[in-house]
Amino acid sequence: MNQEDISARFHKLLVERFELDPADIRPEARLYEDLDLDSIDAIDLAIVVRELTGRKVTPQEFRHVRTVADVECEIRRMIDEG
Amino acid sequence: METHGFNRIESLRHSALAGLGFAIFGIVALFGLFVPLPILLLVTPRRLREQRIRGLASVGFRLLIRMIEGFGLADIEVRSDGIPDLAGCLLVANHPSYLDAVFLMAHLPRVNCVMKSSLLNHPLFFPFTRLGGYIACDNDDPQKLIEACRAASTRGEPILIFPEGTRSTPGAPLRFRRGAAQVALRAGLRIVPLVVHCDPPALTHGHPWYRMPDRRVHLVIRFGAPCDIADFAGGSSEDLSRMARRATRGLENYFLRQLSSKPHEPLLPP
Repeated sequence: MNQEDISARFHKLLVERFELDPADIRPEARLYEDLDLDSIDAIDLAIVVRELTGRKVTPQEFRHVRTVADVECEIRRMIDEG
Repeated sequence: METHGFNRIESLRHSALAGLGFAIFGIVALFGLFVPLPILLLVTPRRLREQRIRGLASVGFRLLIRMIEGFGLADIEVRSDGIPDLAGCLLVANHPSYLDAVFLMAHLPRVNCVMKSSLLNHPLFFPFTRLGGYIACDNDDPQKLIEACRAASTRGEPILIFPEGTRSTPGAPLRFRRGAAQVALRAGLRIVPLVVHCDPPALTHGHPWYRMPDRRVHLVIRFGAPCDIADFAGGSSEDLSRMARRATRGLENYFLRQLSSKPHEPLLPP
């Protein structure tokens, strides 16, 4: 699965799960400030990432994640490693 | 409704009485900290401790309510078709004034409450709020919050939560945060809506105790029947985050509708 597919799937899941406007999901969009995700949503976000990568997410890996681009970067890294 | 000029003397009188009432309450609370509380801690077995501390706090709150009513500052009324069995339910309330929380904690002695950290760290009240086993609104560890609510509910405690997260701002639209819906969903709790009317606004943002209204405050608390969070979300869904968002909006709309109806009318189901 190439980068674009991953991005597209990730965006689709964000829109569905968190009722987001697709236009808002830009790479530099901040998860908490711009997309109105909160700490409980972070739990569900980890589930989204697990669905995309087939791997469980540790809190460590996501500690520095702030934007959509950060998450996509982590997803790519996890797929490449796994 | 006929308008009337603002009676400054009455407002000052009310403010003086409110100040007096709070000063007395402060002294009683200090006394409570140094005498009844330590005695209670000494004689109470561990498993009964939280319950007794909440009972002690509720005595203090009942005194405060007595004073507020006795001074003619407010009259507080509960409207319900019989109070439903609240055990283990999430009591979801709007929060126009300090008075609503004080009254509920005074008259529901077993009730647990999701509290802001400012209350759990309050210089005067922290022994009560910490030892009373109240639930901390923990934004850093939401799982802890959900588990704490689940555990309290299993023990049969009703849990009071204010989705606004703070007192309402008079005149501003109701804004519910998603925490209450998330907790109800993920901890599997039934919901009892409590619609609170406060007229005129008092002890709210912008109306501290030294700016009391010039007439008596009418506080009416309307209890709804226990219902499911799904009732506010227009149905169940496997997608919890989506459902929590829908339920939060549903709760907001429900409260807006009920707040615009007359306080003495029964609450409609969601």
